[in-house]
Amino acid sequence: MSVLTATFAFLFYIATAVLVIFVARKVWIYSKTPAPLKIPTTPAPTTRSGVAFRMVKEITIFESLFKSNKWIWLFGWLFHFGLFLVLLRHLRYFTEPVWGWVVFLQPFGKYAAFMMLFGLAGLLARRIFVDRVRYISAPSDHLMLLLLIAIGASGALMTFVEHTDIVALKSFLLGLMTFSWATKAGLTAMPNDLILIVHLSLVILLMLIFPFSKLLHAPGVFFSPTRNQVDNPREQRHIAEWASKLDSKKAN
Amino acid sequence: MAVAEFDTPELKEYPVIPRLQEGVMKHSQPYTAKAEFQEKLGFPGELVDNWQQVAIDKMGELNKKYRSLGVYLDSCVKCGACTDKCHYYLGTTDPKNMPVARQDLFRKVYRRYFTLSGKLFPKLVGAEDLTKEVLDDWYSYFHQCSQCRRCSVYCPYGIDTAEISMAAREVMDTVGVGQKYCNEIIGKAQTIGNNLGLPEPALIDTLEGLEEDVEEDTGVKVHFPVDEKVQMYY
Repeated sequence: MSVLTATFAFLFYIATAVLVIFVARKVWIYSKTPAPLKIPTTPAPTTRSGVAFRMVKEITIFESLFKSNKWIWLFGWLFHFGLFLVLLRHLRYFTEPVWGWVVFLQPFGKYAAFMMLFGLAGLLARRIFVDRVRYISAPSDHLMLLLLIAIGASGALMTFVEHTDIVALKSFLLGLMTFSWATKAGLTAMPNDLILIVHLSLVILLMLIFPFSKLLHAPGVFFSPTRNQVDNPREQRHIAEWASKLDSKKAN
Repeated sequence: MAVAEFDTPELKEYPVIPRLQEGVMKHSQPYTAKAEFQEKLGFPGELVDNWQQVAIDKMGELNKKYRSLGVYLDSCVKCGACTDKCHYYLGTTDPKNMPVARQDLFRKVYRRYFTLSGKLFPKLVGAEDLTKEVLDDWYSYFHQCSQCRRCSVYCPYGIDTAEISMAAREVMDTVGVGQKYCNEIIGKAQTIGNNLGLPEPALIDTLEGLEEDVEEDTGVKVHFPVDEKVQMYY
């Protein structure tokens, strides 16, 4: 096994473990922490299914953001939806045989790269040119966009300009998933292409910083009390355990 | 008579988002609560010596009691959707009155002491130590929030600045810098029995005068009871 192949195999396992374990830890903490106040932003749904519908609207069409600012909504939505299609397309490198609907999505996923890059460029432009957004941006906010742009651009380069040995890459990835390095067959070598090495290194970096950065907005949105609570404070008493102890102290 | 100069934004058909003017509202603070009122509520009378540690411990405690705090401090992506939604920003143009910047006064301290990225790379992620300057900023700007929650309507994650400014105020109470119009009023309501701190004889006298006025104006004899058993509450 070459140094390159061994290094990337190792990094992929580490990055996957960090991503899964630390995001799961955050989700665990969020779900275990009480939400003592009933604070759904009105107009709020009064039923559980209404909340589900509200949440679906938030994560698919970014409803609140649409109400707020059309430019941020446009760029943000194009980026996220583009990324979503691109990620679905990438499933073909992790499944054998490739699922039918992934085959169908292939052309959409390919061109979604431009949608994603356009959205990211727009968001970066806002960070630089809108004085309010510039004021609130830390270096990490700029770097996060640059990282995503670099990942998208290097990926698009390989799709449209300079192909890598995608068959070997898929065999390498499937080998990682099935731990084939431990078997007689061994692990297929990763193609030694500069663009691919850049692309995968940056993806690994993104996976590593995900649980420790603002990318936590992805799990966070599901735990936001202003969005996930049912508006029924009169019908049902809402009280956290620590708050009910204060209540009973008063009664005594 | 000296008249304060106001720079009132002109009202146009479509609202114009004003440009930032840093620090224009930095001077604006409420009076601090007197030690006697702070202590009645169980808070220290003045800034305690180890206030930084007390404040950070309190932040950790609140983070365990309120899910909103952790979720909101972690989730903000600085998209800028809320930046022109706060009337305190629109009216003053001070950037720290933008909801996200107001939250960031708290968030930068949270990042410094509670997150890996802020512990390792504070400059990179905009994390800062809790200094006296930061505490002064907290006192100014967390009391320039009316907790109306307008920003939470527009935030794509529903981040509610009121949750953050409530936490910051609680931390400030705990280290000994309470705000007069909250803490003294609560103290008066607890000890004297009404928010204005009117002594009982003065209140009874006022109400007797009011009874006479009502009878004079309407011809109906009304009794305003104080500490008496009544048939019905108004």
